[in-house]
Amino acid sequence: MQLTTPETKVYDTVFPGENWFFFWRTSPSLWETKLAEYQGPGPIFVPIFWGLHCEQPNQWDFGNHRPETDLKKLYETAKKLGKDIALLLPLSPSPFLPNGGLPSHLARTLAVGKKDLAVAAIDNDGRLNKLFSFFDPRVFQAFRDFSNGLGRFLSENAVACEVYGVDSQYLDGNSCSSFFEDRSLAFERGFARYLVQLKESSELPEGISENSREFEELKSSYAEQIKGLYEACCGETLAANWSGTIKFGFLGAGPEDIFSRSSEHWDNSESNFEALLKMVTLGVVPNSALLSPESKKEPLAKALKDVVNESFIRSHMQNELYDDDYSASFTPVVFFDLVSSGAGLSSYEQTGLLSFLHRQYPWAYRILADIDLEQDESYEQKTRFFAGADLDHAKFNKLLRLLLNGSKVFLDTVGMPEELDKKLNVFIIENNLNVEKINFVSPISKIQLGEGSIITYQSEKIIDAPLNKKLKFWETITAFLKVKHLRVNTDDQVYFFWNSRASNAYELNYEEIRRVSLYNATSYKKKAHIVSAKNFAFLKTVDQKNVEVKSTPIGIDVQLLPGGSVSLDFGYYE
Amino acid sequence: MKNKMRLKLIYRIINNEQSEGGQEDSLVEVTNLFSDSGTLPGKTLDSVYQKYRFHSGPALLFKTLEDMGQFAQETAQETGAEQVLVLSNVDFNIGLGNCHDARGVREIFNSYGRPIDNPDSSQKRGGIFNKFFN
Repeated sequence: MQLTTPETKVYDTVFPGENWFFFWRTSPSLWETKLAEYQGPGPIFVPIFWGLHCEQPNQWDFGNHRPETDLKKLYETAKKLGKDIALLLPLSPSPFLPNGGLPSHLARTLAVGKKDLAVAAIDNDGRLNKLFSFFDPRVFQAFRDFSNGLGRFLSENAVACEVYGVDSQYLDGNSCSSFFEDRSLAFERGFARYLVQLKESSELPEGISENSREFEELKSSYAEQIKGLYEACCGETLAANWSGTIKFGFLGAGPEDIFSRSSEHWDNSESNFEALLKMVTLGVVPNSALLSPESKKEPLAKALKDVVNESFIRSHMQNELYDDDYSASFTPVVFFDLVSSGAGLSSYEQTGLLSFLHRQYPWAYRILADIDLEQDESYEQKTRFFAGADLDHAKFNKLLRLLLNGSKVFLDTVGMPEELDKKLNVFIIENNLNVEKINFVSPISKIQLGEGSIITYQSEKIIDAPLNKKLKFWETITAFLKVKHLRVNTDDQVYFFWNSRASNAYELNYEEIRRVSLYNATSYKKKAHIVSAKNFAFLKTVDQKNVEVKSTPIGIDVQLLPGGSVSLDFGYYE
Repeated sequence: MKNKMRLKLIYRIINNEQSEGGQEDSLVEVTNLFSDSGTLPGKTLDSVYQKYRFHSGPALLFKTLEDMGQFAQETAQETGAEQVLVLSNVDFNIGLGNCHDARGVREIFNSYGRPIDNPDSSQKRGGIFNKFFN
């Protein structure tokens, strides 16, 4: 059976990516038409362009003088059309806005990246947006005043939509970094003041050198504190509307992208695919607002639609309540959460865990700074990895809670605070838990409590092993999890991504429906094969474009022509 | 006419606290090196960098600007590029501050970059037959 979903308009200058509405790029008289035409996922995100509302210091215009700044009109127009909108207030320099969003009188110190290069991004029309530092005290003071003015405007005009903070991020190797972080003169001056404060309060570690890891950690800690001030300011001034912060990752905004995107001969199509899927694993919402219509052609456009769908977006909106409508929608398949706020990530890399997961369960894992067990409905089904080096009391308590709830948890004990190590041992003795111990590459302990288990290992014993031994280690140690999944073999540069949803009233033979979407990012013919497995039944193909699908007893053969894409649905039964 | 490949290189000066004798000196780090069509293969860079390597990390560090210039020239020879346009991060940042679009970014290297020619390419250009056939 073949199905095709209706296609939405791929590119529009006022809807440059997913559900974002750049209202200032069109006349207010066209807002109603544009919003009425919009058929993408909800809610419609409306970024607040600080520089647009503030042409003079300490003077805000929300429609008093210029109609293009009239947020009340925009809100009422959306309401009239029955469209759900959420305002987005940037809490970091924004790569999609001129001056990174700052009013021109505040655009003084260019933000500087990790390699001491000024930070800028090229937007979807080829314009260069230079980003300015948020560490300038004048910027913070003006932001506080603006946020205050915005809060007053929203409450006085009964604009009852949610306001989310935007932490704009970019892909930097295997992790995402915030545009907030910078190494400009404004940052260095602020950091120097912070060091003086630490010294005065005797909190500065003695003999700390400028190139040391501790010094870099102090810089990160200072940056986090300043970022926290911006967020706290919004919480105070926008109290009634404030809904928290969402991390958005911008495709084409990485430190190298300014060179590739300004070149006429550099092909970015593959890197955008890789970045899109990596961002999903890193827990940020990918956004394609910076990409030009030429680079957003098929199959990337389809991948964006498949991956950044409504249920995915809503799952990142902290205040969204669980809604049955969305449980019936496809969301990314996630088997593993790798919890790390720093040191853990390098341990996951060096022990070959990331390589193993990427080979065995591509893009079906998440790397998270922390986990929120209240927000995650499917937490019992996932396996969690914790790194002892960045374990604190709060995370440790979550780890025990997961065990008590029947989850499987892996714990790297290297660098684990002694206090927590003792606490774990006391927990084992007090509860008279069964502990199995074996030695395979690393000493391994399996602590069992009902359905739940904690498997401890020591990363330092694995790091120096050759890659194939590392992969074998992870294959063996995770075998008992019995993860039910279909294996996909593809040619190079064929990307695929798994989504799943609960079965509906017409699919009662199945527990859930899994959908794999395949994309050929090249201009060559490519092949893919989905290997048949017990407990899975092939149901149908969806959105077949330049693709041939053939079902055989050993699996599904897929031939993808250049730019081809297809989704295949499988029913999973126990 | 045949399109000549040019490389673009950005470097920065960094403090080296771990120098011998504990005295602070500086190092040169190549932060970006690419051609118009993409980044250079890691293997190519590794093989050229081998003779300058004095540390075990992944960064392209040099003890002097001259070493870095020599490395740039050898990379041009290895890749067959006609020229390398070399720019410090400070000059790049000044250039970026003055441009407004993608074309402006491309022009930064042409306007502010110091060209280092590939001697192989210059020799070829200098030959009498090349004047006729290139």
